[in-house]
Amino acid sequence: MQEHVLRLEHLKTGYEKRIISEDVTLAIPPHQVTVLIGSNGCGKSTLLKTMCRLNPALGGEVLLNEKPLSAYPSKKLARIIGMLPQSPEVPEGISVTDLVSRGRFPYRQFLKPLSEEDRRAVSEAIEEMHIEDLADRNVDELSGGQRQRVWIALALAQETDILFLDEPTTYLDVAYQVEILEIVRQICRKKGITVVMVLHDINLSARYADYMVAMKKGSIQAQGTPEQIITEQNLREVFGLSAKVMTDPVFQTPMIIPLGVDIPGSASS
Amino acid sequence: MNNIKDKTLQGTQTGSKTTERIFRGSKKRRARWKLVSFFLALAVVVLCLLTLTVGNTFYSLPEVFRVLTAGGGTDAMRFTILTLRLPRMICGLLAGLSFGVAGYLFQTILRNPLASPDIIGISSATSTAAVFCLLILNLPNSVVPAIAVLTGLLVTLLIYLLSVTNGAFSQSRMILIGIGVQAIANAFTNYLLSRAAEYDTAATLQWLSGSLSGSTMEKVPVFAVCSGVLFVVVALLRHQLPVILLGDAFATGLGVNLRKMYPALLASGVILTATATAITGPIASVAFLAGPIASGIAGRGQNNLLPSGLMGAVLVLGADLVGQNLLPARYPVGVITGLLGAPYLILILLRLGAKGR
Repeated sequence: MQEHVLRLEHLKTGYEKRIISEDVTLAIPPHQVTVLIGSNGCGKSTLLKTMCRLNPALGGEVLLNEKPLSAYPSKKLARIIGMLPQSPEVPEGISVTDLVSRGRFPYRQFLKPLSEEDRRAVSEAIEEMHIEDLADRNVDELSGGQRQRVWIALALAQETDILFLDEPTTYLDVAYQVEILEIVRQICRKKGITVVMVLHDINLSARYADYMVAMKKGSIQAQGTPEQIITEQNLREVFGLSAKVMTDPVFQTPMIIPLGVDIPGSASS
Repeated sequence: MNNIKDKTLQGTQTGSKTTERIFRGSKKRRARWKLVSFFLALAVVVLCLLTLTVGNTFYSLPEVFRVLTAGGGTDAMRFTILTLRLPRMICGLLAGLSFGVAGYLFQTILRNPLASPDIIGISSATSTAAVFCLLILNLPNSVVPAIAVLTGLLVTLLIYLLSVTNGAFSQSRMILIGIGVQAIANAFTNYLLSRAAEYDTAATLQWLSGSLSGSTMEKVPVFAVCSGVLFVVVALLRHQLPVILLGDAFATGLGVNLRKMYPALLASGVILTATATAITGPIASVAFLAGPIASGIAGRGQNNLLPSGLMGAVLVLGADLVGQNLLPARYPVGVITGLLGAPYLILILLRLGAKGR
């Protein structure tokens, strides 16, 4: 199995009129779950989108196996890098199986129907996300949590070695959040794929990340294991949050208790 | 890679039953899609044959075949079938397919049932250009398709550019601007009609309401080649459509090159619309109705490009037969299809309103 290595070199991200990150250099650890954290507008989602070519790089390079992403044909790249965008659109009247099958698009032979291999990948993805019983339901009738599992199944059916998830737990109940992250980590371990995701919840990030990247104002403030990243000093610098950091008594990962925010003009307790 | 394959092979031995269960409904829906497509194709064939046989005088199928193949039949018969009905049938068929396919392309790419070329001003603008060429510049009929296509492409580009704000393209903005462009184009057409010599306007007015009566054999080759080429292009690109429907982000992630696909698919839709409009006039609502009706019958989760095209042909040929034969006076096909389109437009607007979009 070829190991795919993703690396950012002096990457500049943003939009024509608004630069978000000037210069980001980062090596994504393979076969691990990497979580990007940072406050709203710090550029983590934009960075993620640039890493998986949804946004063009304004400067610098995203290097896959030391070759820039732009050097790959789009279908070939889609067999290596998969991605779950933030709040994707739900087409009306399509069943779960049919939707997940669209994840096989990069493998479609010219003018040929789904192959045996495609069907195997689709049903495996559906089983991994535990949505077999929803297979014939229409996606637009499902709850938010069920729907999110369908989207992840679609990305899994793509069978890529690198998987990007942009806020996969946003708008979900806490039970669904835990469930999704649990499954994602299991799949990462089982298949040895590289997962990169943006999350908001620091405690859940600390529990499910192997590696964390904390961003502030478009640049990387700190990176390392959750134990290295989740410190009282980093939280203050990255989020402007004063918090107490303890060790989670169950999972032995760092856990935070927010104390207060430094709001100018108000006395923090 | 071997490692993964070994693991999954073990998985499939236990899981092939699950695979079957997971795909059971999918297979059924696919079978239904095929059945519906078959029956729509059958309906198109039947309507084509009816167009050849039915009219002021009824000719039986054997008679029609004799005229078409062996060169038999009386002069009157030959005139009616070869000069009147055959071009009518071919133009109706091609226009129906073109409008149906173009409508489905636009509705899919812009992800909105309102986004068909006859709602967002593309048909109207091509009509205006055609009227301008015929009435004011007195250009010959043969150049009209080329100018219509050019206008269609330019207007689409204009609408597209106007719907880009801050570097981001907005689908709903494109639809609103398109509706505005349609109003402007229609006003301009009316102005041209009021300026033109009266003896010129009768034929133009009939064409403007969308009519197959102006179909002649001379128009067929250009129309057939143009739309034929585009049908092939669109058919080759059709697998991209279900993925594009998932939104720009997913489509890109799955390997669709949107920077090439959007222009290619939209231009195909525009050229199909403009060519058909130049020949038969803007037959109202066919592009708008064909896709949703076809998807409703064939299953909304399927790629309904083919059923939409066939449904377009069914609408045009069917409405023409009704307008010519079943009503007290003869009506152009566009009047009949327009009657179908209006209530559906209201229904869609109500539905969108209920969704709160």
